[in-house]
Amino acid sequence: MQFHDCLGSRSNGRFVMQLALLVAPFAEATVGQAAHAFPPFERWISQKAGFQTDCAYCHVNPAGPSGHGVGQEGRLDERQKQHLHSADSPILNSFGQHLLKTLSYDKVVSSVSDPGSLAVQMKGYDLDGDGVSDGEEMEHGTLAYDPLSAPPALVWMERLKQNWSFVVTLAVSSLAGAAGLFFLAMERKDAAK
Amino acid sequence: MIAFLEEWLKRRLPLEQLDFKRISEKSVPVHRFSWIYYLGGVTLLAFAVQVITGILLLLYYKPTTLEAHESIQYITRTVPGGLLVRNMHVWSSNAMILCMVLHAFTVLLSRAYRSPRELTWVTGMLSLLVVLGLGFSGYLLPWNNLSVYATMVGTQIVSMSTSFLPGEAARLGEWAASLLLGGQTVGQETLTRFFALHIVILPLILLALVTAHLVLIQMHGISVPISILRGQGEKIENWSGKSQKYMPRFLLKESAVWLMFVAAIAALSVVVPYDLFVPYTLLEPYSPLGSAPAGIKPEWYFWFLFYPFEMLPRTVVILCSLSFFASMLAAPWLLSGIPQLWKARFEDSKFPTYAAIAVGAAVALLTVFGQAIVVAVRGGA
Repeated sequence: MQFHDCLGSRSNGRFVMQLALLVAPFAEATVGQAAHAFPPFERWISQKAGFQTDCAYCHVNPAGPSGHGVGQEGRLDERQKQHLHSADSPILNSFGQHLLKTLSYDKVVSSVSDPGSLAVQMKGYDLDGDGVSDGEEMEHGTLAYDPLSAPPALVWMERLKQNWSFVVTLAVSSLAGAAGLFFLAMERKDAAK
Repeated sequence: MIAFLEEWLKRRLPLEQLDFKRISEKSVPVHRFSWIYYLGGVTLLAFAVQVITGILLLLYYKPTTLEAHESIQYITRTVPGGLLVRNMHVWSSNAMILCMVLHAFTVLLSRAYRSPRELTWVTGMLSLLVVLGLGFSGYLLPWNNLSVYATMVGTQIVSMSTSFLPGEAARLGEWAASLLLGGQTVGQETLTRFFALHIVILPLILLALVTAHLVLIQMHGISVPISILRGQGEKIENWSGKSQKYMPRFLLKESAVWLMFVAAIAALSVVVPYDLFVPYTLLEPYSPLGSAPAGIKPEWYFWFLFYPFEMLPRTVVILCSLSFFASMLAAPWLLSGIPQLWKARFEDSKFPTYAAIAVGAAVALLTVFGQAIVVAVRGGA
């Protein structure tokens, strides 16, 4: 039995998205603003991280902006639709908004052909303050807006710095306690056979 | 026959030796492998940490499909000390299983299961099975993609576990799986049942088994590795070497180890929260309408089963797994009986040592291969 037989697979929807990217400018010109997810970013992050990521990296909804779920276009009113490409876009999570605020919508869209350049541009920022830059988080596939999502090997030193008083107190008191108990045990004279 | 059974039981359950007033006279042998005596105590402490942190988590956890994930996030991110408590629960559960496995392996190697301590071994192995059940049932409670899809796979394996049996018996597995699921698929009924299993049923069974284990240790005293006993050149039934009083000398030293253990778990919980090791897509709340993300995997202590399930026909794996667990339970009788086939004495035979090393190596290798599959599945997504 294959362990994953019972599990469905996630379609990357490459063709659909390529078609959407081709059609979108025309549609936008005729019916107003439309939201796009950018699969090349997702693919690049997945490739770098070594596991399949999803749209929740930048979007509110893991399935992307299209649909009628939470954080998707179908749920937005006319007023919210006016802000689709702005830094307070209702379909983007805090990292998606941070990207637009930091780099602008046009700059983000122009990075589609070279997603790695986006990570390079974000290396000077740390949205969640976990000590790992947004660019590094993109390379590791961890959420740049969540301090509890970070590459363990990079974040442990920063977390140690943040919690140093707790860890030092713990280490000193437990070492002192353990040493005390050990010497107390060695002092007992009842170690005879 | 009855007289034989009576004698057998009397030797293994010497109730007259069960005098807790004499606990102050209990002694612990001192030799070069004395460190193995700390493993059981650390396991027991990890169980205590599980109980305490589990009770604290209960104050905020909500076992419903709509609120479980949110309540876990609330505990981790909002409740003061919540991150510490939740991660101590997770890290100490892993430490508990690791210590239990190491404890079982050292008992196998030192032949501490030998007569009259067979029942001590059996209660220990049953405890290990219950702890694995606790790990499996606890995995579902966060109600994220990883936990729900892993439970689906786990219950499918339970469902297929008796498919090789003839007639109606083949459906026993399906019956057990539907009892666990409470329906056709993983849902609210499953969460309720796993919650009950995780916080009441399995802990009570474990408590009973651990109590029996400790009572048996109290009755028979602490075993000395057979290689050490051979070295003393006299009768190998009795330890004539140095010993130390359990109360208070060994207990004080054990307390020092316990203190270091709790401190290490607490530091680990704050510096490296367990969720950092899991891709964020697997930690998203489960949606019945969504598709399964790649990389669904069981916890590391099931990887030794994960690899064979990926590679071999399921009937072969299920039969081998059941035989393995049965053999482990019957290890004291098998390992002392098999050398007699070539008329060797159990005490002198190398077979039990080689068998213990082979079992340990096989489980370790399968675990490593299982990890390789996890990485391949994740990377190949």
